[in-house]
Amino acid sequence: MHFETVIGLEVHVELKTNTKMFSDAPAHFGAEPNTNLSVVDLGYPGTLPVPNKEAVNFGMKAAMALNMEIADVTKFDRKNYFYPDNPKAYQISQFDQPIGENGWIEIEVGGETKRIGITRLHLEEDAGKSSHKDDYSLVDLNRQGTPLVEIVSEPDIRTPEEAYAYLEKLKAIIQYTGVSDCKMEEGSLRCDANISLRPYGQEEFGTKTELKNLNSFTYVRKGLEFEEKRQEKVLMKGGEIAQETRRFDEKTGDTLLMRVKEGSDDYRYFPEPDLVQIHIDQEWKDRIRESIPLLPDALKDKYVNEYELPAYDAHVLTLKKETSDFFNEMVETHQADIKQASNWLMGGVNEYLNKQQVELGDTELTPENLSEMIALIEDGTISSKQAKKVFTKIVENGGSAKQIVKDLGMEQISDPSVLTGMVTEVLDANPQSIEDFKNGKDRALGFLVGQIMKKSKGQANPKMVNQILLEEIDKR
Amino acid sequence: MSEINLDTVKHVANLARIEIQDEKAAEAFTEELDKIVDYAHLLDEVDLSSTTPMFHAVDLKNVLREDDKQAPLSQEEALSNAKSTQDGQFKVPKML
Amino acid sequence: MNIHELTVEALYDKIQSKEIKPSEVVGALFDRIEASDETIGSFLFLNKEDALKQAEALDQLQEDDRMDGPLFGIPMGIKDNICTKDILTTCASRMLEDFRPVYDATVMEKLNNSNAILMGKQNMDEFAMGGSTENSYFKNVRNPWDLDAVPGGSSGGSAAAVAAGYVPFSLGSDTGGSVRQPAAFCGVVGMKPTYGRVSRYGLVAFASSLDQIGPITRNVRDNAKILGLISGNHNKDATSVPDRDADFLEGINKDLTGMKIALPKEFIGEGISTEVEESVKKAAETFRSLGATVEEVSIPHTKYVVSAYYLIASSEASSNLARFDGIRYGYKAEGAKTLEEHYKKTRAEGFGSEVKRRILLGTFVLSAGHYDQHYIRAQKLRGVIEQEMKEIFNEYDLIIGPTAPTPAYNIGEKSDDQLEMYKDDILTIPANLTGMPALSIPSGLSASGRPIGLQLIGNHFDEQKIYNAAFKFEEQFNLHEELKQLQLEVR
Repeated sequence: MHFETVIGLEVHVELKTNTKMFSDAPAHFGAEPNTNLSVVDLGYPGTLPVPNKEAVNFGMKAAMALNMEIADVTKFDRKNYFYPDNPKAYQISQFDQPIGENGWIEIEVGGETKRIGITRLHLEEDAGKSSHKDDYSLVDLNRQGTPLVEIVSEPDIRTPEEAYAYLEKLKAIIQYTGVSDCKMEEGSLRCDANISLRPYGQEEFGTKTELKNLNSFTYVRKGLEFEEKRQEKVLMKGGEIAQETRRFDEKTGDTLLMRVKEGSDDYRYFPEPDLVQIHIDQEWKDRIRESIPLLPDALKDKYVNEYELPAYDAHVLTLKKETSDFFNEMVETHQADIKQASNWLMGGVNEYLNKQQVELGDTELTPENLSEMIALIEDGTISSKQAKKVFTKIVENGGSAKQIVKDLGMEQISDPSVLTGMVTEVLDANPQSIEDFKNGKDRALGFLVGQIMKKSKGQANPKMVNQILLEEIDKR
Repeated sequence: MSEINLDTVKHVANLARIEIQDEKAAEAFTEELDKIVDYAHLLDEVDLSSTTPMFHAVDLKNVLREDDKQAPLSQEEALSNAKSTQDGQFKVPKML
Repeated sequence: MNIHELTVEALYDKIQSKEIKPSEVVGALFDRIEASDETIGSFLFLNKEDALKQAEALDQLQEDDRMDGPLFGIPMGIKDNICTKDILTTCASRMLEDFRPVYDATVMEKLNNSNAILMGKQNMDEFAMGGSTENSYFKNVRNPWDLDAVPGGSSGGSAAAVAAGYVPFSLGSDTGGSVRQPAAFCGVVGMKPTYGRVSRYGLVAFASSLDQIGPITRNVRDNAKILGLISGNHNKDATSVPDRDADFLEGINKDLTGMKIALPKEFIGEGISTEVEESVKKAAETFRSLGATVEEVSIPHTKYVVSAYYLIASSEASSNLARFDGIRYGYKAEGAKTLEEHYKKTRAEGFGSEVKRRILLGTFVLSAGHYDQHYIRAQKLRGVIEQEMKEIFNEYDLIIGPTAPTPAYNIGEKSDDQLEMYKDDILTIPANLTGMPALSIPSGLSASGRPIGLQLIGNHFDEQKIYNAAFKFEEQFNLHEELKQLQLEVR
């Protein structure tokens, strides 16, 4: 029997606001535990939540970027459960009237484009963090109240590969909107996955398991791959899948049982009585929509159609907002050659980042100094070979490309009078070669150029040398 | 049929994380709650099919806050009422 | 001059004219409290040291003619569910026996800025759940009019302290009648303002969509003055309404000619004692004699409000009180091995039985399979009641009725039957469900000498009309002399 895999993803994204979702304490925090809390975050008796307008704006922006319908009326609800990192014993979330519903994004897998539906996006507050010791646990509430959006996909994903592509695309889009860094390693993007199998042709879904502790996109893919095989094995043997939560083990790549779900958890949702409804009128929606920059797909189209870049290059440049922002600034502000800029970002820059395991922003490279370097190549001041040395300097130490070229004494000799002098000297010393060239022996020209380059210690501008040489030969 | 029985009370007490000392106490709660819920069923006779629920006593909307930071509490203040702390954190019995 | 007999306004004038010093006022009242509150039980904590210090500082300002603040030197008592920075706030619960908030409630900020002096924190039913103050973890409160009688609740300590002359005003909180009913039982004036008029920030929540803080005073003018000082929009309470005119003393003396008053027949029907019904009818006559018209109306769904209220209030309470887990503050059970055990023991030992009962009820109502049947239907009924009352206010200025079905009953008389006690809230609940303002004012004395309260309910934000009618009524009937005569027995 062959099975079809059905995957749905729940992604939590922290919003990059100054303050928390419902309190005016800072939303970004340092290492000291329990130092960015207000009485609201501590769940002190008598305190009340007040929603952060910017968080609502950010949530709306993300929802719009994911092609969602924005609610005209949205509200908050309480989700009740006891846990030490949940100080009020309820999380303020959204239950039946989320800010965004019915969205989609397009992913590309194996050269095919596929649309993945997004059921909903809702706003909520993050919980604190607990660390477990031998016979007790410690709770740091710093993260409590950080604004989050939860993005729930439709069960449209059919392979772990698609899940990976969905996450990459989702991350790129959210990053483009600027509402979150989406850094999984810092926890500003988190993902849980639901997976079930069903025989091909069967409409009804199989029993699903939920995967947790998926701390990178690669782990999501690996965990799903493992779980897909595990479920298949169970089903092939005629067994049944239990509805359970499983933990991905990063070391072994296995998934391990965390807990069996007995029915659905009873969170006793009810409308948050401390908060009133939010009505979002057209003017508000328009205002947010206008603030959304070009998203990856639109930008890709622009690169292909306006800039005439190959589709693949356009795709790579738009994977990360950081890259396309850099590229745009090179091209638009510093008038860098489009093709050269793209080649450098995809080539030398990318190589360097991969090798060093850093992000563009961690280097000393700027759109300005890279564009300047490209201009120096273009106008023949430096050769592409020399450019590599210059690049190494600017990526590590920064500074102006021009200055580095000067400091390294790399500047090509492009002064016509200096070059003419050299050409004249070489011609005077090699009358036979002039004769040979005039008799149709092209090789003679190569020899002459070589002599001139030797004389200039490689710094003569080859293009100009060629030009002046021909002119001077003509004169003789 | 009564809506509240001993099992309901035990289930609800577990959801609310309240230990009920013994069977006698559980029975007492059952009896009391049953009486109250039974009384609440008075509402059943009202036709509310065309009414919308009124979750708030006043008609307000869009009460939102600007994203402006205020100074947080110090760690000392944050922990000041806690019975058990360690390394600047709240200490709790081991979670399972 | 008996300082304890003076109203807020009288004290204020005497301090401003330097007839008395703030420290004399505070000293005299502490003397009185210490002489008899062991019997009455209205205070849980006396803020004596700080109050005396503050009074001395105010003495100096008085001498220097720098008497700023609309309550300069006026002593006050505060219900113990209103947060006072660094000062015990227990909610009369073992759960918060040693709890010291790190912040002041909005109302406290306002009163402190008015230069009022906090005398102490007042006894109440645990977490404001109850109608007789018999649910306090610490002690009962006796009614100063009759030491065998309950003071009402849940703001029983606050009402008793005002009646006993311990403070000229208190703040209570009212979720289903908890300011008005004890005011009625203790023969004083208690107001539950329009929902959202007074910031709830710093009021330990019982039922968020129903709770309001309100003043308890010896006369109507004081009440209007205090409400004016504590109301106003506050940006830390998202259910706080935008600022609007809050000078409730303005127009308080207006002639009542032409005022239209409604008396719902359901408010004087079954379950209302004859004495109370008589008192209301007499009050209606008084209003007529003042030029108002009083007509009988109907709020047909009145009989369902108790059901709806207890479903809603308990649901919200079950969630609001879930935060009491002994981790960040409050009582913590000893010796729990697991987290589960820690939660269950802490909450079992920290809460009293009425609080537990309501948490269990609310948890049940919100739990899967019961939410639509109970919670949603209760909220729908709330809408029906609002509709019916709004319709009355289309034609009438005010609704009157009794505050409670009976005068104060004896301590222990009803404490075994919760449901019967719940049913007593039928008259005060409609104002909470609808968010409308309502005030209780003394309208008579029972044969056994216990006060009876008259309730005046207004449309949203119609506090001015209520105060106007209550003030004119008070000129015709009040218990001011009787209040002065109260002999507090020391047991």
